[in-house]
Amino acid sequence: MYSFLSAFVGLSAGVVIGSAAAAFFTLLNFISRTIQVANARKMVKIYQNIIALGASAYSFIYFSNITFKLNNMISALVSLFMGYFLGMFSSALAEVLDVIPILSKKLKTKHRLKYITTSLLFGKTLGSLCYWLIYVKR
Amino acid sequence: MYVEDIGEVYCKDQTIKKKVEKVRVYNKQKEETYDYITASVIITKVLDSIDNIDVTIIGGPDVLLEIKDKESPNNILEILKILVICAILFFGSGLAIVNFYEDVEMKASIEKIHYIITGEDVENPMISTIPLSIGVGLGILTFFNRVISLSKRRRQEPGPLEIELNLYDKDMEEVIIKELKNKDKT
Repeated sequence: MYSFLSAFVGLSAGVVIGSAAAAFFTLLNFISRTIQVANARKMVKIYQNIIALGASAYSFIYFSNITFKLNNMISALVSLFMGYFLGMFSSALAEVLDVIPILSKKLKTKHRLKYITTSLLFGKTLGSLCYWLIYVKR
Repeated sequence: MYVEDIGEVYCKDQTIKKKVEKVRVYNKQKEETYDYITASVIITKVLDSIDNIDVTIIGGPDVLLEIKDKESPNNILEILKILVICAILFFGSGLAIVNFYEDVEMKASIEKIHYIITGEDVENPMISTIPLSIGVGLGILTFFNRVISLSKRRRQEPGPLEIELNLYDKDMEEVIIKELKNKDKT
């Protein structure tokens, strides 16, 4: 009986977490940006469903001890996708906080935004590499 | 580009309407670019070619033109693109959820809540974590689109992602027109 209650609590906690995550994604609006860049807006419904599916599946995998025992290269591919997502995520976060527009306005570099974004790109990649190759290895 | 391509013409006299619709307002360009036509240009072009009429423009003052080649339907590329986006979103949202769980130590929290409710000290209680996982998916779905509704009309209304896309398009059009105008001035 009590385990049913436990399941219900789990379900409601999940609904709250899921809608919060979705709200966060839309607030950062990088998913709409991806769809816009790829010019693939016919399938908006599919993307929504795939986000829900991904979050659900990973949530389940996190709690259980499943291993798929796949090749190393597949792990690399998955990591690439995750990195892509994370890159968009962090850029969108910086963009929502309006860091770059304000900075470029103060420094009067409106027409050199290209260099700012490129240096951000390299900085983030370098930072990530430094973290994994130097800090974690230590 | 004729007037009929960028708007609708209302006129009582059918011949004048036909004439106005066939007024050329923009010359074809070879390359793919963006360009714009202002209302005043349209009015002058129409008034130049037809005598004795009044023109009233209803709607936005500028028309944004998107000049592009004929789209060749490349289905394989399209599907591949969608697959890649789906993979990114799938693994990415998964990573975000795992990130969050690790950050807040979800495993310990769930075990604690399970203990409070049932009194059993189980390591990773499936009875609680599986509904949690389902709930995450349900929560995201209910945020993005209305799943649970009897009325068909309400199920069809656009979700936040569609609205965001639409807003983005609007903003982009505005910026493009502004930049084109700035370019013309200099």
